[in-house]
Amino acid sequence: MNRLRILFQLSLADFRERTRRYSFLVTMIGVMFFGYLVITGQYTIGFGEYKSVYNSAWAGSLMAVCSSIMMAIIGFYLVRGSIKRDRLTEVGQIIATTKMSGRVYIASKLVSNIAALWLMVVSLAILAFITLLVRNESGEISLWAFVSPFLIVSLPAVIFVSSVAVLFDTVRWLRGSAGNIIYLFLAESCVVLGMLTVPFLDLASIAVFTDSARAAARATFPGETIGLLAGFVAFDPEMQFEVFKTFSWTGIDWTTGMLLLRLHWIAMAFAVTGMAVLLFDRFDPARAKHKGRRVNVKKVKETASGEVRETAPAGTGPGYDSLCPPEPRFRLIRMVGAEVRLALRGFHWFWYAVAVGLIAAQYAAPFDTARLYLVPAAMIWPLVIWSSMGTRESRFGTVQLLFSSPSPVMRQFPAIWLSGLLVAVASVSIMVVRASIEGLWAYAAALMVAAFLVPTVSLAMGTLSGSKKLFEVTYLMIWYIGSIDRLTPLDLLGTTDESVTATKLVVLGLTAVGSLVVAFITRYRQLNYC
Amino acid sequence: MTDHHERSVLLILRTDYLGKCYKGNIWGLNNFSLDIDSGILGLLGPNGAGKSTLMRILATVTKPTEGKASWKGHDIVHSPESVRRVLGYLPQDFGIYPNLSATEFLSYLAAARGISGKSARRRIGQLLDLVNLGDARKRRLGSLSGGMKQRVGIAQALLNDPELLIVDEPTAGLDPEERIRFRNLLSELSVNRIVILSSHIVSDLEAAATSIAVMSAGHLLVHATPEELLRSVVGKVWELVIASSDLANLKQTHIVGSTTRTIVGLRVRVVGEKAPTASARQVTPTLEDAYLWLLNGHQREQQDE
Repeated sequence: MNRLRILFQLSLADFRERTRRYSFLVTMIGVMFFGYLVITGQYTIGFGEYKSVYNSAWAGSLMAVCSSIMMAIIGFYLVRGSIKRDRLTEVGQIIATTKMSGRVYIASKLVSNIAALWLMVVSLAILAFITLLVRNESGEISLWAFVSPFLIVSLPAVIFVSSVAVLFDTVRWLRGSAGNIIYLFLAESCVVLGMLTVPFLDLASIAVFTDSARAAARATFPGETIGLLAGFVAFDPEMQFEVFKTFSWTGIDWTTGMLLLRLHWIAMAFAVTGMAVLLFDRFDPARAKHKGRRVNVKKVKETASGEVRETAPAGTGPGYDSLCPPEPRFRLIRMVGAEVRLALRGFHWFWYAVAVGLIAAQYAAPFDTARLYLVPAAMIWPLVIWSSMGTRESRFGTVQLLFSSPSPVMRQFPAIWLSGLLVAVASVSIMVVRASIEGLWAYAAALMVAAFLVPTVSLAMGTLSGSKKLFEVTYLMIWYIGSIDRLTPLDLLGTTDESVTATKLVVLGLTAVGSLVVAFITRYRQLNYC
Repeated sequence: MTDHHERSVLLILRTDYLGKCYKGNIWGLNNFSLDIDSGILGLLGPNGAGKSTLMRILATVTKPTEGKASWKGHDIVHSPESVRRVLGYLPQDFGIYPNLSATEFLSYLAAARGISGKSARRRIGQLLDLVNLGDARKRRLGSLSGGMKQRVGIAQALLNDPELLIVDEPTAGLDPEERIRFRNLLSELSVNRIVILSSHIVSDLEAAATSIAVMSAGHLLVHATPEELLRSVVGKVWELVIASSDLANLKQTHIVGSTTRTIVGLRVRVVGEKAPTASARQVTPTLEDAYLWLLNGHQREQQDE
């Protein structure tokens, strides 16, 4: 009982902490916007010209499945970081000294994650229900038909995603940007494979929902081919229809096997949480740090009095007045060099090897291979470098040291931007040259615009939000949907000729310029009001 | 009017009715006026007295809500660049980049402060020796102890050979030997510079400060030399020996300073106009006694109001 009370109090405190932040409000606005896209049919799962009667089952199931897809892909990013926050604020070390077990702590984070995501799902459900009241085409409302998809589809998805977020926060090498990238690939694979062939990977029950609805459509229109369309209809004219053939669908007929497949996600969530408990280091810095970061014990010396000292005794060395005087001379290139060095420090050797490999391979690989795969890879690999821009000072607490330096907005801030720009240019420069040689000027221009856009938007987002998360999640989504799934309007890297248009390049270029202005204005304001 | 103007130009650092209001109408600093000349100004006050707020304003990191601050006659609130070029600042809470070594971190800050590469390289090596980190210059900052990080902070504040050095609780985390070393360094620095040093460790200021500003609840209580502060409590400091169990009662009726356990009981210092007991003997005052006297006097005034 006592443990349950502690679990409740901890979860409640964590839930309050995250929901009272401004970013949560922004997140909720984003979630409601997603709901708006679903109820207006701009993001949907449908059957082309075939459409179900808008009834309780359809309204509930469509929103439940769409919200589960959103939870599977974006929900993780919305709730992760809670253990990391305890680590950074050093609240964790206080918690570690209490009697509370690691199990209870991890469970509290799981419960808090579930509560936050479930709040979003409930908000979407309310939105869908209000829409149903207005647009109901069946004449009656069945509460169970509306609510059950949220309980059977969305709740297990929320629980599972919450547990994965806890695990990724617990494992040291998954805590940062690497974890963000890995999760996106896992989630996308899970959603796509689950939808197509592997029922036990169908986290959002897309296949169950579409099979059931399609069967109803076939019963109404026997012999007709009924396809499946899913995603952002707004971006694809082929997915937009003026006249629909309607069929009646009363909801998924849940079999025991189907329900067991939903329950397996809850079981998986327990397993994942169990792994997190096992891997949780209880905020022990000794376990959290690299081998190389440990204090060199050889440097610790003992004095004659028995007092342990870390270095030589006081009173030795030259006086202050004998020091070499500093020569004042600011050079932007030196500041940029310092920012580049700072940005590139702290990675495993493997990271550098892959970064160099991706650039070098652009020279050696066939042009199309480089365009389709190597350039996108090279433009996601330095994600953490870009997302750190504009946030590093606040994350590491060096704001006061830098803001009290001469002209921080006109000296250090441009250097941060240029360092990110240099990394982006290095990532695509070989392909820019190759495209120019091949005469593919539009593609070369697209790459240059992308190299300008990505670090600039990152700097703006980082400076505005003070967190890496906003840029990482936004860019990851756009990069994946645009350049990997090849949704033309979102393809910033021009992986196909169709995705490169003069209008788009102008829009992206102007976006970059606007972002740069926003970034500078924001930093200037921070300087005056911190 | 002319005299006043001439004086303001000659004076190096000046604050006029500075005030900083935080959210919730909480004034961290209120009506703070002070003229600061070369030497070490010690800021003394309890937690929340406004010491760090004042220092952040003078370091141009925070804008005041009202009032003025000037450096050699230049308004540093509206033109902060006039002081930033000659400023060395060690905040109370500052961060480091854990993956950089001490040398790399200082090189980075030297670049931000516009110091040429060649002179920065030489000076950084010498500064690290000065703060006793010569052996640790290549170690990653993430692996250094709190005291060593604090010494990196001291080194960064001296990178540009500042004319105005603002150090907020600089001795936090330093061992006794390093504290003495740092105090000596400050004394050396204070000859042609202004050093503003905050601490609630009175002994740190006693040894180094040429003048002391005592603050409480955002207000300046007094600005005086240590000798003047000491004179204010001459004849008001008493020492007596009591049983440990009587200490709580004594604290309710008197201003009690330091206590020392002896074999005959607890030796207690008391500050007050009259002897607390007939057996109490008058002793030579210390700065801590003067600080307690001032602070309690202010608190009594506030209660009376």
